[in-house]
Amino acid sequence: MKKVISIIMAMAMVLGMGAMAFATDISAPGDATSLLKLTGEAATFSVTVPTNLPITLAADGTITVSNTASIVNNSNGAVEVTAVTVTGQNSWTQHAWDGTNALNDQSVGAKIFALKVQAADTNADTASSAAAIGSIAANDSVALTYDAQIAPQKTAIAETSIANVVFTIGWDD
Amino acid sequence: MKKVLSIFLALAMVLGMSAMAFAAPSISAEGDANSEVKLTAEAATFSVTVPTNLPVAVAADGSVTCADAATAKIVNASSGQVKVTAIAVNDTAPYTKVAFSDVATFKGYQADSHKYALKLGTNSTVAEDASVGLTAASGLIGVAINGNNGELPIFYDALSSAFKTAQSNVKIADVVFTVAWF
Repeated sequence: MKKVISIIMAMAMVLGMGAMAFATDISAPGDATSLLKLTGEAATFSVTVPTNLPITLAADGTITVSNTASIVNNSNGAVEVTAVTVTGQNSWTQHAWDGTNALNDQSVGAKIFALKVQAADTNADTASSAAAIGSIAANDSVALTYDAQIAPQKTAIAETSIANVVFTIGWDD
Repeated sequence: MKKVLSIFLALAMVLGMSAMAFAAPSISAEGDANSEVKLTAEAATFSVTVPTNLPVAVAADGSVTCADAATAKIVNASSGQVKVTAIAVNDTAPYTKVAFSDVATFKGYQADSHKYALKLGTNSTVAEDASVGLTAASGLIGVAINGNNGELPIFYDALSSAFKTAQSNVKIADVVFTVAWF
């Protein structure tokens, strides 16, 4: 046991001398420079977006959406949403936000919707909603507000996916 | 021991799957994160009001007064657009629908012959004779009536043969509007 300890101590000494060998010596009054050297791991990138953005359409045409949706930045640095892209699913197509009739003038049963994210119409515009979300600080979150318009439906619909919303997210450079 | 272990493993699998199903989508590198827009919808309420009555007042001289289009109208209280797909005018005996002509012609009919004529449309220009049949040209059929209390005005005009005695609110026909989602 003593032998093992003595070997370890000897190695420690040798290694310590080695560290000194890399020191900068000056042999006269003047400047000596030490370099500050960093070794770092890339920051953890971890951002969570809502699984679903639910929309409920009542028989009288009233629309209800979630008010708890958020994007959570679990990263160690600020992130930024650079694009919000909406793509219709299951034969549903997106329409421009209808400020006049709220799509109530569409044929009943038409698979047509309009969507605003962060108060910006997402139809053919991937930038405005993203800009409105903006930067999300490290370990912070931003409330995701959205609103929808749906053409009146002839028959009831039970929790059907009508669109994908793709948030393109990167470091906030 | 093996049984306990297998139950534990099965539970772990089920719980693991549930967690995956409800996990919020996270991304661990710069790029795209996807949210699904999920719709739950009730069938739209269908609620359309047509005039209870289309009053026709015949004066002693044979002139006729009808309600104006601001009064006689179809109101769509649904949340979606509707349309009138057909209009049928069904006589109530002993009244008989005849071709729409003019007051002079109707004065030629015998008193109490119970003849009447009716024109319907969105205005006097396009109104069509009910004895011939109503088409889209009347402006009433096939036209979208907006939801949330959109209105379709009904212009109508009538002629009637003379009466020997005064009549009061006597039904002479049923006007049947067939309405559907637009």
